[in-house]
Amino acid sequence: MASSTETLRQRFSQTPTAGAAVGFLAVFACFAISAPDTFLSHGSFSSILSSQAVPGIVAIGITLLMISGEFDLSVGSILGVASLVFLSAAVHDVHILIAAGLGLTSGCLLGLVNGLLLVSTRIPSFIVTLGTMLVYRAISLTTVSGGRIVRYADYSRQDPTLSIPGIVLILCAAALALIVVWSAMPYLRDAGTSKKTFVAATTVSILSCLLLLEALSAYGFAPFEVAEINVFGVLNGRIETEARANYRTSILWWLGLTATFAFLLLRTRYGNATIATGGNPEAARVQGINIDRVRITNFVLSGGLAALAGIIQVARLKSVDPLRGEGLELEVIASVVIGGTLLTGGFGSVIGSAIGTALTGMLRTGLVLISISSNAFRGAMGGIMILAVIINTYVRRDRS
Amino acid sequence: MLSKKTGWIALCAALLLAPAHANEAKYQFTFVTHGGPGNPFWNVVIKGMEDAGQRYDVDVQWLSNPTFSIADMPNFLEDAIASGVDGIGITCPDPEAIRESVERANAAGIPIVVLNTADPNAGTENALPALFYVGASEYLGGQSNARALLAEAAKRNVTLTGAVCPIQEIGHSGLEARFAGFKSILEPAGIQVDGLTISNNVEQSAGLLRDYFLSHPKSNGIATLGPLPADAFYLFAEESGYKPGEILHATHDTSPAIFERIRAGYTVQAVDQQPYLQGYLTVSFLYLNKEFGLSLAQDALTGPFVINASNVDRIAKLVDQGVR
Repeated sequence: MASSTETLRQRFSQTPTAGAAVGFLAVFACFAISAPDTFLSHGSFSSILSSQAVPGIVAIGITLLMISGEFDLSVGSILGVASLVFLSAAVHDVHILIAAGLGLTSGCLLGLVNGLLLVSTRIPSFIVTLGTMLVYRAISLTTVSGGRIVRYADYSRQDPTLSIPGIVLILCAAALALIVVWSAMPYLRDAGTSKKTFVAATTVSILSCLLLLEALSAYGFAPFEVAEINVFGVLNGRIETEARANYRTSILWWLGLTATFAFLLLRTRYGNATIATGGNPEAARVQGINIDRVRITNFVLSGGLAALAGIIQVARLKSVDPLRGEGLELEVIASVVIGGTLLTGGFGSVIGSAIGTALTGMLRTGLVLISISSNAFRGAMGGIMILAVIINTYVRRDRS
Repeated sequence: MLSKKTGWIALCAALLLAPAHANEAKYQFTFVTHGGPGNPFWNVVIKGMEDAGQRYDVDVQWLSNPTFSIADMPNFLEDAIASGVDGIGITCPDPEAIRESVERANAAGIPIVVLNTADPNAGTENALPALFYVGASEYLGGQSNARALLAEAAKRNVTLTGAVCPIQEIGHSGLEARFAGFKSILEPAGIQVDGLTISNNVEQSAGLLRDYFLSHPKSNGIATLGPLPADAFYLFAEESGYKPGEILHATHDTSPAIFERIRAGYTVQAVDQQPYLQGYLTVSFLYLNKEFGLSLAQDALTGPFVINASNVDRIAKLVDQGVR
């Protein structure tokens, strides 16, 4: 008995996601028992996933940063600025793709500023990004003065569309599949140890392509004809299922990006460098890793992902207010911590963060379903976070 | 190992016990709004909602960001739909952000009442599928203040020769409506009404008002559109040594400072939107709709409600009880 517990602990201690997964299942079971009719339904599952897609995408960047030993409090403000840049450009007749590009660029630039400030001044990232959080928020507040809201509906009642020949879409989907399979090739050759990885990667690639085609077909896709693609629909449209369910394409973006960055973190030199930089910066430097560059890259990625999340959110809400994204950073950091990523760096998981983010959403929706005030949500989330860290610390004690 | 198990068991028990108190009532009504208990204004709406919930023996639930968020609204609406509530109250600062969720709630047969902030598209083909609106009319509030200034001038035997309406948030549709209502009464009477851009910074705005009245000696009336601009007027008027009635003042919204100046005679009246009624009536109307299928043929206006020297003391007391 004792030995089996030990093996379980040892196995847990090597997997950052274990604590999050156990917590997720426990909370799931609690709600499934206390509100079976409403909780175990597409209505609530879709509500959880759709509402967590935006924080989930932001959480990916935060995870990468925290693994490399840094911290970003400014993501909520970056999301606000990028949303504003995107929508302002779109309502001023800028082509929708260029508008999205401008939004993404603004997010990456603000992330770059964070990274450069950190590397050049050596001030702790907590302080640097606390400062930039306030500065970036002021950009939104001064641009959109006095409680006003920038609305897409004031500009047009039609969602923006792109005209693309169907064949181009098929080629894009095929290219995507090829990239994924190609990335998995090295592990196929090394079949002895990485069979599972290959199977997982192939499954992911087939699934993602099917989902992509499915998503596109929902928005007027017909091969060999020029398809009118609804841009807001692709970014964050409703996937037609049953009437009460509200699954959205943003969930696919979230899952796709999570899979991509999980792969990058675990299977590339960049991923190794990130983990090494956070785990032991001196050792990483000795090994020839440019740790400043790793940190800056992760700040840029964090900013870019926050910007993408903002653009995806705008595609659903179709408006931006000056406080957009406020408070998001703490919710996301809590989710990442629940997901098993260490504040001290060097250890963590993108998939764990996705589970942590889903757990957070489940808590919010579940509390509503069992008629507990939404004001209790933050308290419950704090409690779960502390519990998750206690469990993670307990199972990891073996490591040291 | 034991402590971990105990922790989870305790959590499960807590979650399992929680619904034992709930779901006893006949109906469950949920409010999804852009603001909440972090702002004192909303606490009065919440109190109205809770009091009505007790009165009709229904479960009521307030879902919102503690301070302000439009982005949280569609998510909370989805939760409400998923939990199968019997009625929903919503605010409409941005109809497009919540359109899809509101339409789905409507398709699921859930009655929806708009409170506090009206759907700007109401009455057009782009209106959200809601029953009606329970809240104030900003335009009528502006008109009420204009009429009060005219009446006060007649009472004091002075002529209103010009008036100013300082706007603290340019482009805010609610404030524009207050301004438009104020103008719609005074301009036909031959009285010039000036707009003046100020801010919510009291000290700065007091300076701007000083500049305005220096350059417009004919003006002797002012309508402020919120409590902070009213504070700016009081700072300017008292520092410049104006006596009550030399500049006729009316305002929107309430604050202890405004009550004090109504008593002292500096302010003719304040128009209030009665937030308590917005919470209370929304629950009442949802209950009557579920129970008997009853509805209103038009919006239920909770404002303008006039506060002046005749009722200010009674209302100031109700503020302490959380009803005003």
